[in-house]
Amino acid sequence: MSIVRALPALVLLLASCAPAGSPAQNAPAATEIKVGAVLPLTGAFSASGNYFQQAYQLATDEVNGAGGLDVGGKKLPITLKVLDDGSDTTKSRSLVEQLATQEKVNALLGGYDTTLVQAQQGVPDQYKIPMVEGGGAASAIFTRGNKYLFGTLATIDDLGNITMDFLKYWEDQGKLPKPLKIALAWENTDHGKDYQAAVNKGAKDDPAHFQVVLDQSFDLNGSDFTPLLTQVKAANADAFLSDAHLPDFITMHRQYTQLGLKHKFVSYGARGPDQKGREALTTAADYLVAGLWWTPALTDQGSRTFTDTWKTKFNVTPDWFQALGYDTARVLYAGITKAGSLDGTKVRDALAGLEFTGALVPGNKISFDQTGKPKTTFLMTQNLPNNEVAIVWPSSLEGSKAAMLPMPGTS
Amino acid sequence: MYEPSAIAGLVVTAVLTAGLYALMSFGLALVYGVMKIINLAHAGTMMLSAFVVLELNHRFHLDPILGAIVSAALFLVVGMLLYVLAVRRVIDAPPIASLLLLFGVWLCAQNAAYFFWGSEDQSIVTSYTLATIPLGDVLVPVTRLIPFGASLIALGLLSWFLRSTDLGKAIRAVSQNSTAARLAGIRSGRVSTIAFGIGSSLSAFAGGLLTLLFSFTPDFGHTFQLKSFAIIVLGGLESFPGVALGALVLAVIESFSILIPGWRGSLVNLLAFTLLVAGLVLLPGGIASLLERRGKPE
Amino acid sequence: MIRTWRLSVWAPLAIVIVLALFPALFPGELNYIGLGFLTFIFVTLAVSWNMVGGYAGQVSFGYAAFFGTAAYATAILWSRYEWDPVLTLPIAGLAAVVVALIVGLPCFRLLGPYFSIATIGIGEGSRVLALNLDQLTGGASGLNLPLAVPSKPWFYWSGLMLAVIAIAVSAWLRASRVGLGLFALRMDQDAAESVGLNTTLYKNIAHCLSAFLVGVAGGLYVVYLSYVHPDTVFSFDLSIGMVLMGVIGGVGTLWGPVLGATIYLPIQQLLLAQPSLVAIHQLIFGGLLIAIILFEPGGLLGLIRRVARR
Repeated sequence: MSIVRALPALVLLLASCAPAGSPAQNAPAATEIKVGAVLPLTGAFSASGNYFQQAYQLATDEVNGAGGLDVGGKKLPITLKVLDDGSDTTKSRSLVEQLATQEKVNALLGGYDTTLVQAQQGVPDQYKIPMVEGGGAASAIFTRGNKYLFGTLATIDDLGNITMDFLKYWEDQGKLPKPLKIALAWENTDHGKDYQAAVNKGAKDDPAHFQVVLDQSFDLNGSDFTPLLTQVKAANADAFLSDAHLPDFITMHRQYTQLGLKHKFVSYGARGPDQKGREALTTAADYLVAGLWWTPALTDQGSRTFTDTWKTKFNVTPDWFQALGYDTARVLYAGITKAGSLDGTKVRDALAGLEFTGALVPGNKISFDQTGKPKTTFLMTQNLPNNEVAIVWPSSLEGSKAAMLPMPGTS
Repeated sequence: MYEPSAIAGLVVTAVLTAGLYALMSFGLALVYGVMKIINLAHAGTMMLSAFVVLELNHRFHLDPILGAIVSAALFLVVGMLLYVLAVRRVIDAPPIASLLLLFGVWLCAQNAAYFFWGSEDQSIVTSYTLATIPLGDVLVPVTRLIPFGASLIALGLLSWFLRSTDLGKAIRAVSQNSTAARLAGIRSGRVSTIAFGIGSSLSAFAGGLLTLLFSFTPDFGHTFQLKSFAIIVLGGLESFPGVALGALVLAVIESFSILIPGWRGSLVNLLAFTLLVAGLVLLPGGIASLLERRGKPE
Repeated sequence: MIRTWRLSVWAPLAIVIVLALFPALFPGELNYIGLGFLTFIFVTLAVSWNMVGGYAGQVSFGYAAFFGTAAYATAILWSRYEWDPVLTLPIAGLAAVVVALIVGLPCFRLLGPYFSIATIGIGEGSRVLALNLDQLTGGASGLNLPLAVPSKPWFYWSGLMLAVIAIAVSAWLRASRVGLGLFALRMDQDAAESVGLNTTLYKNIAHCLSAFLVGVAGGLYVVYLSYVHPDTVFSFDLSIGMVLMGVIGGVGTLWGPVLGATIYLPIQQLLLAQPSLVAIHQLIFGGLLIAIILFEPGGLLGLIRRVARR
């Protein structure tokens, strides 16, 4: 019975510890800018989560190093608080709420991976705290009626579209068969589904250029893709499009190579130039085409400076995670400066109309449509031998070269 | 639609995958057989072993196969220690105790891995990572052949060990009836310690060889562990040839499922789970019991 | 005797009243109100799981199948058929009961660890199914649900009510004939059957009761999150969490799971919010689990009782 006697006392103790009193609303003189983020620093998404955290921190440190962020003429330091949701949806949502209600942050930076972003996205509108996210790329994110959410990551359906545009161009140049027979494999995630939908739609809208001869899904972290690849082989396609994350990219393409498969065009969605993939695949990764949000192979000044800074500081070559994390934070900070205030609604309005130049993404510009969806796009790269990467689309990008199609050894 | 060489390819891949699955499951089967404990730390052992092999490869340029052997030796000791320090105490407790204890060990193992190696995907590349050997029309990847070969050797060694050595016979005695074994003078505590060590060692060996094929993070091993459950259930939980058969059944079903018209590739793991439940409910003794009934020796 | 009986009713009642007053007294403490809601959900889950896992000793690692099915029932009725979310909750509970009956039929024939392994297969199997039945569940995209939901205090009080109901059901079950039967079959199923106990019936009754409560909790949770995805509601971590809460608090007791659930979420939250502890939070949980299993199988409740006896 002692436990029962103790419990009321415990609860009363807990209740009395809850800090009472009203929040200090719009304190007349804010001395710092509180920015919060909830990222998967452990768990299934932790590799990318940590990249985003480092990038958010880098952007924050740069601003603070210059004396702080200009808010209405005054320079204020930014305090960035990053919490770990362990890649868990429930924790992600409740930690963002904690940042909003307990820490009373002025603004939020988004989490990583679409599922966690979707769990978080109810919070910005509820508390009128603007959030800029660079970790969720499903088009569904921007269909929920948010006013306080902005994304910097072009959505995956766009990746499918740009791939189809690219392929159409090269068909018309005579480098690929027309209509192009496509074998499509996609991971069963929102990412894969968006990609699959876009490719199928592109084919349906333009049967003169495209014919999807195989459409097959696979589960994450597969142990054997030989059955799938056997189906691919039997489909007699000209092109192999697969949307996969790094572990499956490695396993699948190794088996693709071991089975002796060849297609005139092979692309694994956003995979290809990543260092880990190239190391694990060696020469098999050559000539693969990828659609990316950013690549260290970009030669414009901003990208080169970023790549060098990151290499010096962290001893690794950055990938799109780091670049987008960096852009995401800088966009938020630019929005705050533009608003000239820390008031959530004012910052939100500033962000809605923001034209952020000096971004790392292709086009170097980030702005948003009414749903908060970014008006940015992808670039495409092709791996070249000796660990080189060429930018092959759009041709307007600095350093863009013509893609080597069909893939060498296949015509 | 499918040429004969494609079907032949599927058969080959099913057999090779079966070898991989069997290798992964022997450790679980041994531990369960001897002490009726489901080793939920199996995934953690495979994962840590993969990282050990990674370190040996990066620092000493040790080939993963040799690394896996070294790791197996290391985990023999680790497994025995784990048994003596913790598992031994929950042997006679309700099954939930050992399940959760080993789950706790898995959590700690994951944390250790995150701490030392971080969350990035790791992979090992060797000179033969992409190499293949032609078998008629079918190209057999060397890296799939190795775990298959290893599983055959393991099966042979384990069967010999259990049949012909004193320790092996003692293990079988304790598996069948630990009280009677004790009455017969077998030091079942010591036997169990060694059995757990060997079980961990087998898991570690499998985990090490898996680095030839897959990239891994501290989260690695969860799905493989669940499939291993399905396999040892199919196999009859206490028989090594049964495990090999169970692995073959699962691998064949998984590989040939792709031929089902309208099949979604992403459903493949459902097969393992369905077989797991069906196996437990319909075939409590596993496939091995089916064979026994027909008079085939174990 | 009468005095202690009264205490065991009045003391919890007093706690409930205090808890219920909290949002009214401190309306600005939205973070705690939200955490309170989640804790009540977890209490419901732990207490419900305990009815089968603790009282009957049938340790299930697949309760996420009930939570997930119910969550999707609510999600689909709410988003696709525009039901009032509150009205979907009983349906969600019933959907979970249906799954429980289907699961119980083959699985209750299995004993001990076999039952546990089978439930792992059930839990993970339902997750893979949900990931692939795109027409019904939205598959891997999950389902986006309306962002307009009731207020935080509403969730808090609903959660509190549900948790109280769950504890009441658990207390009733404990003292009832069914409960006695469950305890008997936990100790020795064969002996129980030999004295004429219909163990299968009792197991199924407890299973359906607990599944219903878990289902309602699942529906309520999904209304709160405004989002449902197979990896969230069918997750193995959730199933394991229910087991852990029971074990940490004291499996098989009435208040043990309550205690376990009360510290499970807030402790995790606390650990994750401290940057210095982030790197070792799995270690802390794993270590806690190992310590409890090795040194105090009665969980925290057992520890408290042991200390109180001194």
